Amino acid sequence: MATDPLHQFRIEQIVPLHLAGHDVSFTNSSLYMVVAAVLVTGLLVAGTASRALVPGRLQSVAELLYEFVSGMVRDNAGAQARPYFPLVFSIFAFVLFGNMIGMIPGTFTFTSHIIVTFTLAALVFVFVTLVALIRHGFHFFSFFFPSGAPIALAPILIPIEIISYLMRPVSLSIRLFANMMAGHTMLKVFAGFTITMIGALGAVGWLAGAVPVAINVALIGFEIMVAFLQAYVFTILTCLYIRDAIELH
Amino acid sequence: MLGVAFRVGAELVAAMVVGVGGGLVIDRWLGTSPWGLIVMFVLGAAAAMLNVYRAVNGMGYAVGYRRPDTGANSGGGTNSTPDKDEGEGNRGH
Repeated sequence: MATDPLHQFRIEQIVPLHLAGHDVSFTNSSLYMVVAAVLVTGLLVAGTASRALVPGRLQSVAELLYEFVSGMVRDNAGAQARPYFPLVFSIFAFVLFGNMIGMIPGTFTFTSHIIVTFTLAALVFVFVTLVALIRHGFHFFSFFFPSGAPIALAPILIPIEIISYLMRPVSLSIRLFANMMAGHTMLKVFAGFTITMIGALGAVGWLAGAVPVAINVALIGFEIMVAFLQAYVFTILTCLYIRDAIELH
Repeated sequence: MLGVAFRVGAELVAAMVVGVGGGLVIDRWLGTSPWGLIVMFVLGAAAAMLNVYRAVNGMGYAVGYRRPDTGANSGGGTNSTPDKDEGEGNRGH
């Protein structure tokens, strides 16, 4: 177990379920998604329950979270993006809590699975495309051709622009999943060094084994930063895509 | 920074995934193997380079959308030359 750094990403069924021939079992991944959603909801409900003019600790955290995302939407998506704030907030809170829960030893990081991050990114992609289509109608297709480019280049430019539009959800999901998976694997590999050294060297191993532990202490701090940063990057790109959909050119 | 490096990397990988994946789908659908793959590979690589350029340029946009305020310096610069290009293109026709 200790020697397999990828064991932590294994999906385990908790409640096996089958629906119309599909496996829809409740897994450890689903469990931690529920935990994240419950924690976010709990934080906001409990934080806003007292409605004190001078906020308590919990209310401060809830307000901080709200104002942080609110500022991000205002600065990056523009004033017109106000109606889409709930979506952006939900995505940020869900990804942030998923990443942060994963930093607790023994938990499962659902954002380290590409299917989860791709579903989130696909949600953003479909939503942004629908917003652009509803707001601009057929004018939406005009930005697959950069304004002012020579018309003779259209056969090359249009496919390139379409590919770079379609790759948005892919790059969005790969970035989040790769960061989380690489970080967690690295932590486990360093932890594995300690166990190997103690097993192989005995008393000397206890001394030498302290070195990877010290590295891991630094890495955990770094990983907490990455966990926050990746949630932030995911959200900021969502904001930029929403801005693109609203403003078009 | 590491974040920028990782972003550029993801940008490159994603464009190739979409290009090559799209090429394989087109080949399977129309039976044009291997031409769909070849053409889409090249287009995907071009899109990757374009998006890396855009990301590094600080625009952070995937498709030809640009921010109005930054559009004044970066977008404006690219906009003024294509106007001339269009004129030349028309003469060419």
